[in-house]
Amino acid sequence: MPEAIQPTAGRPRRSRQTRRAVRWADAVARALITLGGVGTILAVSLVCVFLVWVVVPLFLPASVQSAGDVSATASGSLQVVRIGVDEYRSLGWLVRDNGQLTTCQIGTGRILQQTELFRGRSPVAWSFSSGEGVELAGAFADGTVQLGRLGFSTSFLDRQDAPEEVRSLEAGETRAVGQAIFELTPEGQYRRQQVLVQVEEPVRVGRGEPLALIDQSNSSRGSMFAVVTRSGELHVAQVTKKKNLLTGKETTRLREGTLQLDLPQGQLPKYLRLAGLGDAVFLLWEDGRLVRYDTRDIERPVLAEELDLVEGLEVRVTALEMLIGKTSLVCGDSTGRVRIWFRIKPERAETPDGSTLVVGHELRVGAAPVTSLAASSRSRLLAAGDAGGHVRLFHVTSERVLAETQADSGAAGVAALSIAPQDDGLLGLVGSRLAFWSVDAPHPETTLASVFAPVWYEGYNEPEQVWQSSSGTDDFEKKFGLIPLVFGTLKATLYSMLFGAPLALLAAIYSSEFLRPRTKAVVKPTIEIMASLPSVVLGFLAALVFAPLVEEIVPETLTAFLTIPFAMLLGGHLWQLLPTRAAVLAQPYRLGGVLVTIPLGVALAGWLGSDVERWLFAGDIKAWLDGQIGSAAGGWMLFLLPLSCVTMAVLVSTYVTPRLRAWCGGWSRTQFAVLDLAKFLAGCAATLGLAYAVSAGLAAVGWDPRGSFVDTYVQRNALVVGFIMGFAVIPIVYTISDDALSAVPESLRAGSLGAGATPWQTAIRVVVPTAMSGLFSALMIGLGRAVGETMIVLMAAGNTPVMEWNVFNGFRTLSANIAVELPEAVINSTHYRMLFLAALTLFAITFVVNTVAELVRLRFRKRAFQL
Amino acid sequence: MKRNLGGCWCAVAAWFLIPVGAWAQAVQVDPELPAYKPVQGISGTLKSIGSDTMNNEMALWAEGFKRFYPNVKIEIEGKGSSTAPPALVSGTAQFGPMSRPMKDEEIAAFEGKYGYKPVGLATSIDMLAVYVNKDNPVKGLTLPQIDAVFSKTRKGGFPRDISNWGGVGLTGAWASQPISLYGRNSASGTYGYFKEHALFKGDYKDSVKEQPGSSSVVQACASDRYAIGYSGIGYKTADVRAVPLATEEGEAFVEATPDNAYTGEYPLARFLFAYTNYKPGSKLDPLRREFIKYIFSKQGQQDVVKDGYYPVPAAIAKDQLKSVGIE
Repeated sequence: MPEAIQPTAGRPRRSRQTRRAVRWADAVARALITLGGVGTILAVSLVCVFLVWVVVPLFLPASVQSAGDVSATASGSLQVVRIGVDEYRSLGWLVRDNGQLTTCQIGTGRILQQTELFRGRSPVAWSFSSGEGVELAGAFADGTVQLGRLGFSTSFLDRQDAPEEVRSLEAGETRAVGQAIFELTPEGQYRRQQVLVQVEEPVRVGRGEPLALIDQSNSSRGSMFAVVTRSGELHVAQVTKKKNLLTGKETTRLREGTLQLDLPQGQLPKYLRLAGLGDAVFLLWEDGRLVRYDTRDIERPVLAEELDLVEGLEVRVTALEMLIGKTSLVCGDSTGRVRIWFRIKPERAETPDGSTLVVGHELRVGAAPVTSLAASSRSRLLAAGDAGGHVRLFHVTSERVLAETQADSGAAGVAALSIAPQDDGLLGLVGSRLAFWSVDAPHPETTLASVFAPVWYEGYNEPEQVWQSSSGTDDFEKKFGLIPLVFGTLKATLYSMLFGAPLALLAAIYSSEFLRPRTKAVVKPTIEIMASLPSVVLGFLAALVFAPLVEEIVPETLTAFLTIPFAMLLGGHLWQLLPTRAAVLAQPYRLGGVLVTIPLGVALAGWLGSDVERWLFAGDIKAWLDGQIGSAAGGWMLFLLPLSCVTMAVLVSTYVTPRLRAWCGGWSRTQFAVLDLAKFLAGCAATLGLAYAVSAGLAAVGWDPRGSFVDTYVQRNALVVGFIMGFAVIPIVYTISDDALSAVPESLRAGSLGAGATPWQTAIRVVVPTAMSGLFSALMIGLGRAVGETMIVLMAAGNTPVMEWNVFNGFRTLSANIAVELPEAVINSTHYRMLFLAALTLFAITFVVNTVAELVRLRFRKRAFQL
Repeated sequence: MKRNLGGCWCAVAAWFLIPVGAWAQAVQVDPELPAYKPVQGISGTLKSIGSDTMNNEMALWAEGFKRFYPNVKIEIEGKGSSTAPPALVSGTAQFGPMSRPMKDEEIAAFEGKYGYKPVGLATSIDMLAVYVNKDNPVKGLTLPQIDAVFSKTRKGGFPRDISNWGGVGLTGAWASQPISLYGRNSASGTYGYFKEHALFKGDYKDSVKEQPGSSSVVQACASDRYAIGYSGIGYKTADVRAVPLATEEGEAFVEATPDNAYTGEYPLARFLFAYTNYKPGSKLDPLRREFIKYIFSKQGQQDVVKDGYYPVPAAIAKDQLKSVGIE
């Protein structure tokens, strides 16, 4: 240090400059903090971006591209009855009405094979199942039926076994050799694909009358056939096979039924269709008249209903198809409309089997008549072609138009359509040319409306919001309605906060304002240890111990919600009866006294439970909740007692207490305590009386709480989850609130107490308002915990995606749903992306909650600073 | 006050217990099945991901197989049949046990990667049982009744919804009790199979409580007096009863016994599959080959019986071995 600034006053002079090390540390700290802050924001946004990234393809449009005209193979005057394509999109086939089958290579249009399916016989009617291997049936004028199967034989050849001309193939290319198509697979083998036709011998139906229409279907009940003869007779037959696994012997059982149809003007129906389960036969005339027969009992078909599928005299039915599962009828008409009909079971159906056909979806195709329809064999995709050569691809459930295209070959109508087995191609016969489009529609079933709004699913009585995401069969209609899960999340949060929040806040107020610091030093860490209980353990306890226990003692549990506070308050009033000396001596042990009242409250509940059940719930609470017995008054008591308590407390403190105080001035402490006790007991009686009077009034008016917040009791329910999840929420809310309350400056407390306020008045009117922002944060953090909680709800909530507020029923939350279903979701499938959408929704909920919470908290803080 | 704490603790205990060998005594394996003969030089790691119904069965096979080859490591994960196809496609597992056949969609995902279809081996026979509490007096149920109990679409054709035990003909105190429904999560093949065959492809009611595993369904039926649930027969315990079933009204109720499974009388009998990736025409690697041979040997099928399921006859076993190129 230079001489000139040597200190003069005898003490060392401080350097006015910040030391370099400090400045350096400052810079490092600033950089680190900035980095940390930005990093956190970045990480959270990245999570969000990733979620959005996975979710967005759900809503991207599908693409349909023309893969070129196949060829002009369909020339000639013969009508084409069916076209199709194999699952590798390499082989197309086409059946003409004279029974001739033609196969060709997709892409080049080279004809591979031309065979007669029925040895030159021409059927008068056909039936085809959809799918890769097509079950076909031909009905003949001589009263016989021939069944067959058009399948593909696939074999894999190694390079050395493959024919010379295909060895130069690149992966993905196809080449026709003879009647077969070769393709190089990713594994380096050559796949040989050829059409394989098996046709069984003719079978005579009934008395051998000439046939006019035929249909068949296979289900777990067996194979079913239906034919209509030219004279208007309907025959149905069902073949059930049972195979003995030990002997290999098959037992077949045949059941048949016959019915004479009522033909208007002797006109035969144009279409005959069998429902997939074989429980209904549909007959449709060209003018839109539809008759449905109930064939649940095959031997005795009954007329179920008759209706008109198209309105107006001019309108004709021009195309009919059944969606996968053969439950929905798709009807295209001459005004260019496609309507989807399925059976529902309304409450009061007038049909003998209790179900009626309704229009579930209506798709507008265009003005030109619908000439052909094709349903996918794996999903609810539907292709419709019209007389103007337009082809449109729909998803029926979401009513989404996936693509719209027009064949190149001018204005010829679309005579036939077929969706490739893997939903990745579309084969159409336009005019006399076969055209092929490759389709890329990975997520046709999702639109914002189908996810968040009610959708009319097949067989449901009305549009509903449903979550049933997967099943073991392909013809299952996937139901991706997220609202029941959002609802479940909110329900879980509501009930757990309803239980946890008041307890945690009151506990914090008590421990920061009334508890001795020495006791608090033990109590607070103990409660904090509760937070370290893994939620899976809590869930386990809830599902296996708590839920069955509560189920046994429902009335006692409900009674305990009232008797425990009652016992505690009664304990407080009795404490006042202690002589002053004893009270002062016992002061440090007051908490012990409070603790004794809780088991007393529980015991009281156990003692009163069955009486309460008899008095309020007609002696059987579960039957009462189910709505079978008893009056509504008991249920109203359940809701109104807490309200009535609050009302009574307000009334007493505003009207009764001031008067009593004026009247009993100069009384001794004990006299005053007795008076207080009497006042309390009278208040309790008045509360009960008030609640009962209002309940009886409401019940007399005819309002019943059953069906809304209370309803049928289910073992895994929101009460149990709310209780246990409350336990998960309490420690965190408690700790933060306690810290917030303890942070209130001691001066405020001292001032208030010094001005003559009681500790209670100080706590409620001074400390709590000051600490409000902290208390609010605590609540919001607890809320966040409850929204995202997974394990407890997963194990104890029953995971039922029901949408009712009933506290005695379960729910399915977004988080539990993700945990349950993610392992089964195929990566990048619609289901997988829907689960990410569920995650994004959860993210959005917590984001909104936290933002609102922060805004409110800042307002409170401003107010606190103004104090 | 009827506080049933004892029951609760039994329930907790049941969660841990694996109900092995509940029905073991009645079933015999086909004497024509070959006994397993170990070969030289087998080692490595096998991983199986899939059905929960077959979890114990896989574990028994793994245990039996390791007795011959102590150096082989076998890991088994059973969260539901639907977890098998993704695992096979990604190659994280060599075996995918499934309690239902694969769906077209799942096969397509596999085929998209490998160019050929996966092979499903029918390893054993299960009867999907409908369980009720052991105190439940119900004599039997028809499939349309079960449909009306479990389904909201009622495709089975039962005229009305059934929500109380009175709806299936119980009287007295039982008649007014609501039926408490338990089922499996949707990843389960049992869920899919039950939906297809007992619900006629209809939809489950929203109030069916989905349980993560077969044993928790059975455990729930044991602890909830008014419960009904479904699970593989291998999980039957003494606290539940498997209800005899009939295909339709007017037919005789069929008990869930092995005889009825083999004759095809029991309406919900099914094969349990083990799917694997087998390139057509190739030779399996020795480890998988031996494991498959073990499954279809006398010992392997005895393990099936030990787990409460039913063994396959020798003829079927031979067909299965042939499908993966083992003669």
